[in-house]
Amino acid sequence: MALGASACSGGTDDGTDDESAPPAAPAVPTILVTTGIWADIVSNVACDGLADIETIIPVGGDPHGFEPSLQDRARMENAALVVANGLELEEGLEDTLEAVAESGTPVFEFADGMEPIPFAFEGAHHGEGEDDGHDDEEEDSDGDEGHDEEQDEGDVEGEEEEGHHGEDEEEEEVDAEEGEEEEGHHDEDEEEEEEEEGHDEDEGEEEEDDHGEDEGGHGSGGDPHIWFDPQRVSGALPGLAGVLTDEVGLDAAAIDACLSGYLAELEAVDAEVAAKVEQLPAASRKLVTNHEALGYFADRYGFEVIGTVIPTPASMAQANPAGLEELAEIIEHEGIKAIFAETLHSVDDVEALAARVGDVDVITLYTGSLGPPGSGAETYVDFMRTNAELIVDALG
Amino acid sequence: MEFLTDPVAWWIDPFTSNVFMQRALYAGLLVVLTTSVVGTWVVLRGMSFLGDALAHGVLPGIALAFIIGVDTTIGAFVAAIAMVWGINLIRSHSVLPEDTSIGVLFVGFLALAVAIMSSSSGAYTGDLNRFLFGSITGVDAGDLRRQVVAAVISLSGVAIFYRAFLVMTFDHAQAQVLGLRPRLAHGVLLVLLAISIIASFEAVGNLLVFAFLIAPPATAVLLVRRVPRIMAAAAIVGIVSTVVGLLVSYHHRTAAGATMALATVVVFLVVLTAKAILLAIGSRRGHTHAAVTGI
Repeated sequence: MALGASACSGGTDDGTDDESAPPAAPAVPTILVTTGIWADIVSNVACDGLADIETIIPVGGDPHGFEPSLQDRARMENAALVVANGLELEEGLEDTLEAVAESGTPVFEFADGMEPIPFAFEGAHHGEGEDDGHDDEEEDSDGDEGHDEEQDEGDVEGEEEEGHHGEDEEEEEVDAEEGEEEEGHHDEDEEEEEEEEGHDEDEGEEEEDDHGEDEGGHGSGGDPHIWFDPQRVSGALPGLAGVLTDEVGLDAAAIDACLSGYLAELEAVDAEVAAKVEQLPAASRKLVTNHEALGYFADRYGFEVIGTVIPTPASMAQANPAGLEELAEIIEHEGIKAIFAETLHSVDDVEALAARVGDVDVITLYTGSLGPPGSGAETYVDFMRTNAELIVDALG
Repeated sequence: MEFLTDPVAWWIDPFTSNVFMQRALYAGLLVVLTTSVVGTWVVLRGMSFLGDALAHGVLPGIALAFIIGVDTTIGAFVAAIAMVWGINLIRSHSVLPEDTSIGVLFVGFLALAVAIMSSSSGAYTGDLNRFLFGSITGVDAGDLRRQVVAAVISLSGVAIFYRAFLVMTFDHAQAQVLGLRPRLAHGVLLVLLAISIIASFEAVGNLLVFAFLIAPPATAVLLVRRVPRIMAAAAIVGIVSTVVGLLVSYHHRTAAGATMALATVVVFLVVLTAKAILLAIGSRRGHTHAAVTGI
């Protein structure tokens, strides 16, 4: 891995051992990428040292909470390109990203070309009913190999919404209208929630507070954890390749070669994960996670996210006793074998939940960051494979 | 209004049916027990700012302990001692008033904690929130044991040094005359303060523990005069706030620790308002209000 490699240190290529590329290229452009996961992906599109890829948020850092240093800011402004996730994943970097874009450095956000799925829990939480009926349509239009059955079985989303991104996915272009429609949904749900809570007089202030935080956290709506769906990632890569050639000035033919190689790799891991998931009976494909990070994984591979320990996507949110008990009952009722913690977050609440349920394992997944060397999640492809194995083995 | 129309379902059921509520209740009660006896002296001696500063001053110790892999309790304690020592050092080497030396170190320690966390590339970099707000739903048996120990130390410490604290609080000169060693007593109080903060941070966090340290004793001071009664009243106010806070959190899905802390402050404001109204009524009836002012 050439992640976080030294900047502008001239000719020496690190990590990638290619002698073919002329080392007389001291002007290899530097590309800064917010998270290690995306950095790995970018380095595979600009492969063989075409660019110097650096990561802003260190391995093990929480993308939600990371605050940049002044040095980071300077590095971003001097970079040939800054790549981010978008959808307010990098909450602490938002302002800096904007400022950097204004200063003239091109900024590419992966989420830009994607139709985000809404957070599952704003409305759909209690909808345990599995939606069927229209599954077939999506399957047909989805056009990939065979493993689509699972995709739709246990989705949490309302049917309408699911229909939406089914469509968008293969068309790969987002039109603003649909985006708005989805956002409309999202807002409605939120209002509903507010109403539900609103009929209590005495502690009104407090609830407002809570909401304020929610909105501060993820204002624009939509789940930002898009990297959990390799198909969505693949869909965004041609856009990235375009920016790499047009804005950074990298050689189009070389980028094309990298891209097609990596797309094949992603397709392979996607198929591998799907095949792995197929070992699980459909009824076992239910996820209880620490914070709502696995929405896209669930959407892609036909899991249902039936609950999260941290009740809202807001970073300030805490677990609360009523929610945990309800979750414990759902886990018991559904006979779920394992619940999932994250490497980036405290496991206290997840373990308390597991202790309450008794007969349930706590498995720690890689979510917002790649793993350290030796973890089996050092690259994006390994990250997907390792997570899928952890999940399937735990629930199987 | 469910808490009136169906009191059992609102007040009792959550605690009987939900182990998270039970755990949170135990943790909350232990926090109250520890903080109310120590907090009483903090309020009476006008040391609120120091209490607040200490609550945050332990953060860099916790952060460092995490990185090195030491028990966070030890890290927190070392940081607390360092802060108290630093405040005394600044005070004795300058003409600055105490609140300035506290303020300088307060912000210094807080900033140091954030700087340490941001430089660490390991786990938990994003979990400053966890330290600031705690996780009362995540307390385990080990945390509860630690809290019991802290409560015992606080209660016995206050009992043993009761006379020294009392004289030092109300008449510093006399304390010296009586040979009660006010400086030692002050030091003991600070250690007890540090212990109560450190024992409570897993449950309610460094930011919110301050609410329990100040608000219930402050409420108690509004209600009663004698120190033992203030401590008792503070404990009762704290318990009521904890129970109400947890129930509101349960029924309305709000963050448990923050709701409990908010409850302590709401109780304080309610008592303050009620007292002001009673006083106004009393004085209109022609009583002199000289007898009821102040503490």
